[in-house]
Amino acid sequence: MFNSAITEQQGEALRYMLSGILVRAETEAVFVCDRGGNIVDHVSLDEKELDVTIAALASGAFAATGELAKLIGEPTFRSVYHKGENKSVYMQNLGPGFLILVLFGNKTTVGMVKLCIEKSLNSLEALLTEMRGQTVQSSGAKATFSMSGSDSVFKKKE
Amino acid sequence: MSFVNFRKKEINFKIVYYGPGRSGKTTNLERIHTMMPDDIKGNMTMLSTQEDRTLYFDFLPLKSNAIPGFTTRFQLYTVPGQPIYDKTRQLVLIGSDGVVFVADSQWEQMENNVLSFEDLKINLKTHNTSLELLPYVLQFNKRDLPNVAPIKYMDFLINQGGTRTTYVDAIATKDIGVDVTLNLICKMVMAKFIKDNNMSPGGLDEASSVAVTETEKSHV
Repeated sequence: MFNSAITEQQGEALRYMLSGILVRAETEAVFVCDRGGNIVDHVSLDEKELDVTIAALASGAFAATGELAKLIGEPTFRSVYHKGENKSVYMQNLGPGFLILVLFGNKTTVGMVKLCIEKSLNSLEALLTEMRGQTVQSSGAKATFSMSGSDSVFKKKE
Repeated sequence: MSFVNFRKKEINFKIVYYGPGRSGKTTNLERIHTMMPDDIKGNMTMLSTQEDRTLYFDFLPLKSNAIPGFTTRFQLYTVPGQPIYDKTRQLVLIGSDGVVFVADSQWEQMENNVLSFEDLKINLKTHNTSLELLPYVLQFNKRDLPNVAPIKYMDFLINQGGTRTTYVDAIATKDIGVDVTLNLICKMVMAKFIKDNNMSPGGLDEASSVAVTETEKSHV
């Protein structure tokens, strides 16, 4: 196990790419998650706390379909598409360790979403390759971490 | 693995509640969800069977400001305890920063506790990690039931070898021991993060002192 980090500059570059997909494909939200369910970054029209849950469920679903792929003799499924009446979800592998998840409505099509991801794929994968396994130290970010003096991390409500 | 986003000033940690079937993993998360203030918790998601047994995982996101300058997000997961869901447990453990092992204190569950603990070690190995590397806490749950094994016996049975850790007695259905367990594992995970990222001597000292205080308070 290792810690992983994304610098401010990498974060800005990633956000720019994700915003491009969001706007060009007319989607509602675009996420990049790691296999553990952490959101690396995301952009959405309507930012909510639900986003964390979406990332956790998506990475779980993607991991499960990956196991399904192995059972039928495929190394992995490159993408997974869930079609709903009003909203749909498209997920795609971004090399080992990451996936992109796009939430979209009826304004666009899955084909358009795929096309826009494809256009950004090389730069996205290059950036994620750069940050894969990058620790706080190796990222060059200057940060000091300490724990707040409070006795409890979480206190029960009154 | 922890994930730091310097642009968003966020640190993410993943904690997995592990243990045999019906030991109280989901109850722990449900009680945490009930007891925590609204502004620090997200929705609790449960992927269950029709019989309310965990099918894939339960998920509860929490956030705190325990590391100054950053929003610290803790993502709590449970695994399905039933033996047939071994592959699922392996998947949920991906990227975990800490584990809470919830053991059932009833005599007849001792064998299942031991088997599940062994299963945890094997599954961690598939991700190239182990209990020597990962912070973990034991929770001896259901202490209110009439047929429970003595704490010392459970400690002897599960908490042995080179990786002895802290344990907490709990009655999760009555909120006893639930928040203590949560705070303990969160502090251990953060202490390890600060130690691994060894950038602030002050922070490291503080983290170490927290770990020592917790150890002194607990039953190691």
